[in-house]
Amino acid sequence: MEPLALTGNYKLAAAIVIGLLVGCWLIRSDLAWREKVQESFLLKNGLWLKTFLFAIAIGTLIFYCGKWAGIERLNVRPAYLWGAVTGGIIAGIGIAVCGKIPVTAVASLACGRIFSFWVILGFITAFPVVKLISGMLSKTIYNWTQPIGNERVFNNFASLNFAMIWTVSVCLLLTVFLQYTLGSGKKQ
Amino acid sequence: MMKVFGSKWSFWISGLVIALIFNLALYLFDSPIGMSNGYLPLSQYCVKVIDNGKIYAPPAIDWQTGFLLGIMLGAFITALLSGDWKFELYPPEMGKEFFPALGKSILKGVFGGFMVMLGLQIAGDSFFGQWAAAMQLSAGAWLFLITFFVTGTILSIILSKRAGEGEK
Repeated sequence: MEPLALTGNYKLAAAIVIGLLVGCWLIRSDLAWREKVQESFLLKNGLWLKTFLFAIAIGTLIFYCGKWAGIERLNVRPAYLWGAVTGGIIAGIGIAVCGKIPVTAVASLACGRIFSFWVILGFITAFPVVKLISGMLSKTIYNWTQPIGNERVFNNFASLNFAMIWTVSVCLLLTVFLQYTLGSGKKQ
Repeated sequence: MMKVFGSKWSFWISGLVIALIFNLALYLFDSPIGMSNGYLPLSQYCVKVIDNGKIYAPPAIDWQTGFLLGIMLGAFITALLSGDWKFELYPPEMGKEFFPALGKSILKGVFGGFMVMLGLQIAGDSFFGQWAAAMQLSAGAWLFLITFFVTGTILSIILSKRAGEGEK
């Protein structure tokens, strides 16, 4: 067995259906709202972080089973040490200011929060800037280190190193820790 | 059915659902879902219109733009059914006076959105892409996510304290 790897109109139709599910998920799980994201970053509400860590724990297990059954393949874009760190810092500054990531901005705009439009405008203006500085990035942060070897990490997946078990265990422990320290985030 | 739309999901249901969606997408597309590439054609279209001063036919919808449209539609329908739909021009915490609050909302929105997308592009993937990559044990994704959360938390606390002092 191997991944379905849809193409053409089937891929578009499936993407719209998956988008519908993600849109529903964002509203039902209360993660589309700016204040919930900001409360999470202010360590007042653990909902976002707990969902994030629990999803990684479960998702890693499902991916491992899917990989073993041959229906999923490792599918990760190349990453660079300084690219990941610099990108994380810049995006972290951004979320502290606007409280939105691309999916939550689109979902909250659809729910009548018109101010999300300004965030989307900010997203769109970033692309030409990235294009302008791409030459400089290639000579600097993408050139300082070799790409991070995901295949090497993945090869350890089922070996005695048990990277998968460690990841799942740590994520579940952190989720339990957050449950008892930051609360359930059910306050409306 | 209505019960599903009538109550909020706890973190473990949300986590389970999104983990299943990520893996379903990997099976269906052989590629993780993400929105950055959905925004790219929109950005290119805007640049073309501004450069030439003419309105062109909108770009063809690719699967990632379709994903973006699906999210809008899914969120809209769910919010209508659950009573979460609310018209807001600016977030309530921006203040009560219309123009200052609107101005602050525009500045914060555009600057924050710009920084988020710039960071994601430099790191090489969308937030959902990084999340899905973390499930595949990508060291790069873990580095990005840890830096993102640490920076976001520190700066949010600093900004919140400054805002609190300003109110005093």
